[in-house]
Amino acid sequence: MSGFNIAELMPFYLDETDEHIAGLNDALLRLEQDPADVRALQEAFRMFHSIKGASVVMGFQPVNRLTHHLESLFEQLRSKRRTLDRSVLDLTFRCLDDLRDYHRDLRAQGQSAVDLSALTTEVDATVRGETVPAPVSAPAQTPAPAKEPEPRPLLDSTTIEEPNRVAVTVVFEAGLPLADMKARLVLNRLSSRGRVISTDPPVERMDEAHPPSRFTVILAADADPAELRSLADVAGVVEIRIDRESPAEIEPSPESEGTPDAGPEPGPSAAEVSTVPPATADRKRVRVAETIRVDSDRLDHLMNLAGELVITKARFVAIARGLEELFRGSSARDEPNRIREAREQVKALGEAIHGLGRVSDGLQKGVLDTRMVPIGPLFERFRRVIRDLGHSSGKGVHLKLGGEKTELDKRMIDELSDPLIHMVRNAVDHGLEPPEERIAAGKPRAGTVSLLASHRGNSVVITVVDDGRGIDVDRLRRKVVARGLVDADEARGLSDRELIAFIWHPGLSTAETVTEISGRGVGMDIVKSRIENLSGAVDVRAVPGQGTTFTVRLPLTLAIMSRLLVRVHDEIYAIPLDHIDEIVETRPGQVYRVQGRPAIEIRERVVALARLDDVFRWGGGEHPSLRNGSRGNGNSDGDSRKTVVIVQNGETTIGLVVDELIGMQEVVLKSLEKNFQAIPGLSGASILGDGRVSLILDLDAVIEMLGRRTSRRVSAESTANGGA
Amino acid sequence: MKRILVVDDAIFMRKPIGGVAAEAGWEVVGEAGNGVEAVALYDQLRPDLVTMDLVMPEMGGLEALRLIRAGDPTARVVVVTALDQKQVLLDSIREGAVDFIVKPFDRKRVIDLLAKLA
Repeated sequence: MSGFNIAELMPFYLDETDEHIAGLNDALLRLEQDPADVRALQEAFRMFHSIKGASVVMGFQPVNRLTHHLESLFEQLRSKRRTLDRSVLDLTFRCLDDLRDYHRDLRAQGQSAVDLSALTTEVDATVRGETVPAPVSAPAQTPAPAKEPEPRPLLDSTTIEEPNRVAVTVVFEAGLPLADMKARLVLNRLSSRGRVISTDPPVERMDEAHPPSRFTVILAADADPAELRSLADVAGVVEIRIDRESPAEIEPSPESEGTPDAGPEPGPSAAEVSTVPPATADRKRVRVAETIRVDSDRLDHLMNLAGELVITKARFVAIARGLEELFRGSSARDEPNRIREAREQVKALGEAIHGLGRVSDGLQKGVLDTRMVPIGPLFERFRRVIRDLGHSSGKGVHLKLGGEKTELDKRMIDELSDPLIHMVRNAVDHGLEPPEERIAAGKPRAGTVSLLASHRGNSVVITVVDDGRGIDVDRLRRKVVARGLVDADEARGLSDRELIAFIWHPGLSTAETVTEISGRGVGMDIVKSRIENLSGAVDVRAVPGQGTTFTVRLPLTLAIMSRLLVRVHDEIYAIPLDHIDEIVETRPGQVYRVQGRPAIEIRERVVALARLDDVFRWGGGEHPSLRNGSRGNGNSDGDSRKTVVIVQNGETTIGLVVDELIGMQEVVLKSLEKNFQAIPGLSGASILGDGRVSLILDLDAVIEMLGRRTSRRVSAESTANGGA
Repeated sequence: MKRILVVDDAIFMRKPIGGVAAEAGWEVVGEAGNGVEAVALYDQLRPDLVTMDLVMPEMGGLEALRLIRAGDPTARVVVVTALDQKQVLLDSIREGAVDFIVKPFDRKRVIDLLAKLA
């Protein structure tokens, strides 16, 4: 679209195209179930049309060409000139996949290397195969509709003598698209003011191959020239002449001077309808800004809160003014009165602070809410995935969705797609048995894969459940040994749960379970690391013969989290609440030693005790306070009261000994990596209300590190010294 | 100030049209995403001009044009069309569209059109 900033439109284009592609997938799945679904057919046609229109504006010719042919194909389906069969469906699905990949690259890199030309040719051939090979005039034209009726009124070729005949001639801008239609528009507008006697060129001789550069309408009319002029003056007309005589004697009107144009001869003109402006050269590699759609209700809520903020500010101003006056030292007031008034002001200040707290909490939550989107659309995409997997594996698969309204941070939804696809794929490929085996086991022929989402405290839990055979532990054991991950003796000693944990091992997953997902291999180890990058955790449980469940636990949002703040030595650490089971206080006699390590018993469960000193080192050694010989409170081994935070990572439970509990607080996560360096066991830092830094524990890593602590101590050199 | 109603199912299209209109001194009084909304908004707003996309969900532009002009024969509707929608464009010309804009549209042409209709 010339004259527009393409880069500015790019996010809108990408978002809408993504929506259309998702919608098309949905429409096609419906058509696959019911080929006579007229509504789905209409929707599909319209969405291809929309992508086509948008892509030409953006100058993405390959997309434009492909969707143009797809639109033609669906036009044939819509007009019942073709029936929707398997091959057409599959072809269309393939097109959607490539279109999705094309736009994914576009979003990531500002350009795309996906080649759509082969599919374009294929779709075009399919479209042509149906019709009698008719010479298509230009590639950008759809097969012409059956018959093009001309606008009313019909031309009157028998010239009757009219006392007032007027010739109205319009000259079109060079290269005006659809000039023939402009001529028809002018004709139709003029026909409201008089009877059309003839036109030059005749309407029936105008089409896109012969666009008129000028157009004359001879009219029997009493209208005044100014009115005719305004009727003829549509966009794209650069010159208008009105003459009382015959068209041959037209005099150029004053404003027509200097307009270079061909002579008034009718017929073919050199001017061509230019279809598409050449792709703009300034479309460089621009990374596309991420956009998000927000319910206007949520924004209204923020607006209200912003309004309250202004009111709160006014209250503070009033209080400040009151205090200022009070202390200006006017001798009119005596001291007791002053104190009384000051006390009132302080009380008002307290109320104002309370109000501010309420507003700022609301604002914080409101702003976070703008980033929250339901997981439903992501889940919906799996209908297509399951369909394809069902076809390729030859297994019947039902998809069950639950908790689609569960909301998650937009970024997480985007990042979750690939890991979920892999888990679903794994469930179909490895979990579900072939139909015969299922029937023999007394199960329904078709397997079921469920995708469920729910809120659990400050987390969102997503599960991928299949009703297949579970995980074959013996086979896994052999494989683990064959890969050399453990030796045969060790493997025999491993529990089922320990063995199953090996599916996350890169040595196993890349070799055995990698499958192609739209051209990119993602192994189970990658799934795990992707989810951990989102501060989440993934776990798998299997029941032989009954199925496998993958559980993904994610924080609601990446930005703000509820943490328990604790003090260890003189530093403050934040522990994610989701990992905390309980907090206990131990008396001296309760701690005993198991295999040389301190442990306590809680509700008939033995929990190993650990201190952060077991995993972290400060400047290569012990914490400075220990080196000085001044031990922190409760730091000695078993002879004093200890505060123990019982934490778990879903598998292992550990009692973390801390020096002091500070309390719960919402913390804003700041990356250590970005500002400092990555330290194992710490997921980031945050700034507390008093300006101090608290270090946020990565408990999954801490628990893992404690599990290995006999082998080596992990050095966390130059750990940020928060207290300094 | 002349008032304009922009009708298109794609924000992607409404935005540039509305932007140009605003620049050309028009007040964008409303936006509609389909024909049904367009007809309702037209009744409510009575704008001086409507830009109407032809292919939309729920109700297409031609039908909306018909209904709007049936309710208000003086309604001025500019149709927004693609190059290959000549049949429906022809129908809309017959139904009394005052002019049309061809997608992909040229900014200068849209400004020219708005100037002529102001």
